[in-house]
Amino acid sequence: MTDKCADLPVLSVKHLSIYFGGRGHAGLQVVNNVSFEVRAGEIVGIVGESGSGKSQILLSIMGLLPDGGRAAGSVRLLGREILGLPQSDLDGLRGAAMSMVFQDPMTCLTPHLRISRQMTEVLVRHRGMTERAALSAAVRMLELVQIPDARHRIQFYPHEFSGGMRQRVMVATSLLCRPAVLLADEPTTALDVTIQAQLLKLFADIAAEFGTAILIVTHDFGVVSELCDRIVVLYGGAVMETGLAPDIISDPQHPYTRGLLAAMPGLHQTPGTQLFTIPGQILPGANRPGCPFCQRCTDKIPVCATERPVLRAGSGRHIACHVAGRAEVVA
Amino acid sequence: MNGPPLLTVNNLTVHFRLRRSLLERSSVVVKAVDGVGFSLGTGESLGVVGESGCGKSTLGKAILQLVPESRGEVIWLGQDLGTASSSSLRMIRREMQMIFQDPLASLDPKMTVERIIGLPLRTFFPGLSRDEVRRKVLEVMEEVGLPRSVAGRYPHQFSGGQCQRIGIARVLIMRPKLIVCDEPTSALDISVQAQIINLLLQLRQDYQMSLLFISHNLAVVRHLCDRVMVLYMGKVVEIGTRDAIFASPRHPYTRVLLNAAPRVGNEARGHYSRVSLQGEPGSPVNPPPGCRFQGRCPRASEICRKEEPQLNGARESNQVACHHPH
Repeated sequence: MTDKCADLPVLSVKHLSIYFGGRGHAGLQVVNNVSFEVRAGEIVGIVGESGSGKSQILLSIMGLLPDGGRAAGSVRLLGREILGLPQSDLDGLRGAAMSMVFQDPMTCLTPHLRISRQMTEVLVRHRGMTERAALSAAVRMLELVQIPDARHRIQFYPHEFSGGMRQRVMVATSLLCRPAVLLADEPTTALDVTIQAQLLKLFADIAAEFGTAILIVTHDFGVVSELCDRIVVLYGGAVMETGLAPDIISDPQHPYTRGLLAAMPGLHQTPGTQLFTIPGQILPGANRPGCPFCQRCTDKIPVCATERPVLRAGSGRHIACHVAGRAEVVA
Repeated sequence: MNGPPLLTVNNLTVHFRLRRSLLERSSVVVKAVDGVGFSLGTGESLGVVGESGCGKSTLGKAILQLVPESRGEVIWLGQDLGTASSSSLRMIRREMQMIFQDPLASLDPKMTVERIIGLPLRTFFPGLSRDEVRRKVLEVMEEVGLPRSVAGRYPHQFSGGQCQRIGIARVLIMRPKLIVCDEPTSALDISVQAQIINLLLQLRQDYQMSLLFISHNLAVVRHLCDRVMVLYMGKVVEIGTRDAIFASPRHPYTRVLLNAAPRVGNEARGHYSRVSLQGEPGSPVNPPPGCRFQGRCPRASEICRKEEPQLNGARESNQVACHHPH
């Protein structure tokens, strides 16, 4: 591979919009014009609350949107357009060039099949390995994710593992073919903090060792803080703020990002004091005029209700806001 | 703390019998809660933290006398609930209420909000007129921030945060002295979590309510609780004031928990690499002899494998059950 190739993003999402129901641009829009890139070895976090469209973005990349969902725009995997590919072509990519882990491991592990069967199937199918070679590769992968006594445990059924181990089994399965991109939807949300810490370390090791590009969806700024190189803050299906994770977390500029961080109880808050809250609640749909955050924003000006702000560069990040960072633009 | 504590729990133990399989006759004992004791004053809030399976939810239910298998003493304002008659238990139940993790699942989908919130009143005070119940329901809805206009709606028409408010209103209408909260914000978004935390803080202040706050979220516990109890495999490993637990934890497990919690901020990056704890909690079916944490403990020695450490009250600020505390 030449240096030029290494510079290309592994995953490039451009102007992605997702609709449910209706035809064409009718129906409910849940994601509106979202763009981002993930490079080799990089960990990018998509942060947002329920209804922000973050999970739908991952599903559309995998070609797994539920019935009635349609995606428009462009998703390039290693330079190749994959949005709208027929299922047969996607089958060749899923589990091989890209794979996904979910919040609940039982959504991807089959309860009545031994782990050995579920893991070797991937290698036999995508890599044409023999059963025997596939089994020893699968055991090695389980050892890598620190399943103790992997040679013996690979013969277990999913229910014989604890929640944290099941999650690691799922990560191991998703890594078997050394995918270029690993998508993870709230992979640690259901886990205890000690197990979560083990899994976060595993993700960091995978990105560093294999150069896997990791796109992780989470609502937890703690996870983002510890793990991600860059973040994309999503609200109402649109990008509010995106940039280097340390920059945004130490100095959030979009009113939504600021509100979210202030609403989290943490070390900077005096215990027992009222927390900052974002007024109002999330409204469904991403195709209203104006800024999606407008109704709940405390900094809004008249133009926010009528004109959708575009992402623009400002102090080491991109931000979609009519108000935030204005001073710098003028200067 | 003035006067006798609101709630005293002594040596509370819940052992579940499990049959290994349908065919086997032999059964095993799961020690979900094993000899837990603490007391809670009026207006005080105690956080209960620990990993899943440590027995924190079972503890909450056992205090409310919802677990028939429980042994030990639960003393409510001087009265032992284990020996209380069913009629006095019924009276006391009005004063101790519970809110749950999954707000939607804990609400009857076929009832309107007004009926759900009014049900405890109609149950405990059947003499109240319809208008009186309605007036009280609307009053309490306002307190938790639900607009009057939604009284006729059904649970599925609400967001998770709104459902949690309905759950809190249903509890609050009894003006309880104690609310047991079982992970009440875990299923909520950050911005909604903040609203519910603020509501609980406000209610504590206004009504001097005590909270037993069960959570795995240490940041929320730190914000809301005066004291913290750390459970590991059904045992109290450390209990103390918020400041003592968060600033100078003494049990190795408490330290591990605090270190493992993801934190926000730039100093956070790479913290996970410091977490030395491997493995997962052992099974409460066959707890190891000695200290239950020994298999994962960086400080474990010979004595830890033989002798079970007892909770040591030498320091008032935090008591710890450990042979080698920090």
